[in-house]
Amino acid sequence: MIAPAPASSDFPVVIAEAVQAAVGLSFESIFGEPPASTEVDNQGASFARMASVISFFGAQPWALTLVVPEPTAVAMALKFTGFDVTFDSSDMGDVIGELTNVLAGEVVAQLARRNIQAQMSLPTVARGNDVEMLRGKGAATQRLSYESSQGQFWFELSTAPSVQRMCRTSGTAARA
Amino acid sequence: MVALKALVVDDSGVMRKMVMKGLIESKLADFEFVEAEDGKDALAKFDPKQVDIGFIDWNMPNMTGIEFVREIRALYGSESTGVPLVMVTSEKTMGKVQEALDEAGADAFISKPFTVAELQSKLKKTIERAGIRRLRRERSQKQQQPSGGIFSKLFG
Repeated sequence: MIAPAPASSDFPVVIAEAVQAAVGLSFESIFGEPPASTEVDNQGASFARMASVISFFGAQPWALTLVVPEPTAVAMALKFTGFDVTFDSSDMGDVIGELTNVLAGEVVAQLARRNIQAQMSLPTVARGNDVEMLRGKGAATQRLSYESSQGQFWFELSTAPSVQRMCRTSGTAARA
Repeated sequence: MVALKALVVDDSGVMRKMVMKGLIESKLADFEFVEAEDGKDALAKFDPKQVDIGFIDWNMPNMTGIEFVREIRALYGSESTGVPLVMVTSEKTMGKVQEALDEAGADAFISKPFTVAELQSKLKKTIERAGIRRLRRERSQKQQQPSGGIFSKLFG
């Protein structure tokens, strides 16, 4: 099972706000309506999941993981592509990776509007029941959970303190 | 309707399918598709005498879409500028999109996700341009072929 990171209050608020804005805009343009933020935390525990990670680098290194339980992934894929995509296919990895990619593009734009420059990596996608997202020691994390007409999904946001330390060591400007 | 040879470049097979499906549904032209999974693959498959238009993803491993466009424009020069290259991107930062259009030499861009209506409104002129170039090329090739009249009669 993909272990959700515990919520941490010290994740940068401005980044979390940019992600929330990007989720609303991106998902509305893809699925026709923005998803509803939820505090419910049962997160489709009995289902296999897709997890797609994109890293952001710039002044503040951090990473976003989109976690999508199987029924949500299948419904999202149909709506996004217009054709059936089975959960176990390689196409499903493409779909969830591409959804994360589209969202991340909007996140970069939202951050730029908040005077934070960032670049994004390509998505890395995992599928399974027993995937654990490991965090760097001292990383600040935050979970954003959503309900949509396609089902539940959530994001785990995490800073990357090890990258920050590397940047400082090599003399590159970095902000905590 | 002119059948355009379209090079569709994306590391995601699903995105390539979506671009092709969208273009077919747009009915802007008939298309014959050539797929490539990154910039390097596309470079090997690009021939300005064969390809009429390219749809290029931005973020790809090995060679990005922007690098591909720069490479094509540098390699083929004016021969390639007649081939419209359309960036298909999730980039929403206008500065970066402008860089693609101005500096690298892309002709247009479409943002992911896109609808058929958006493809129609954003790509109509670009696809028309590709169609006109294709017709001119076909006409020129016909003119360059030996007339064949008397020779074909003489030699079969």
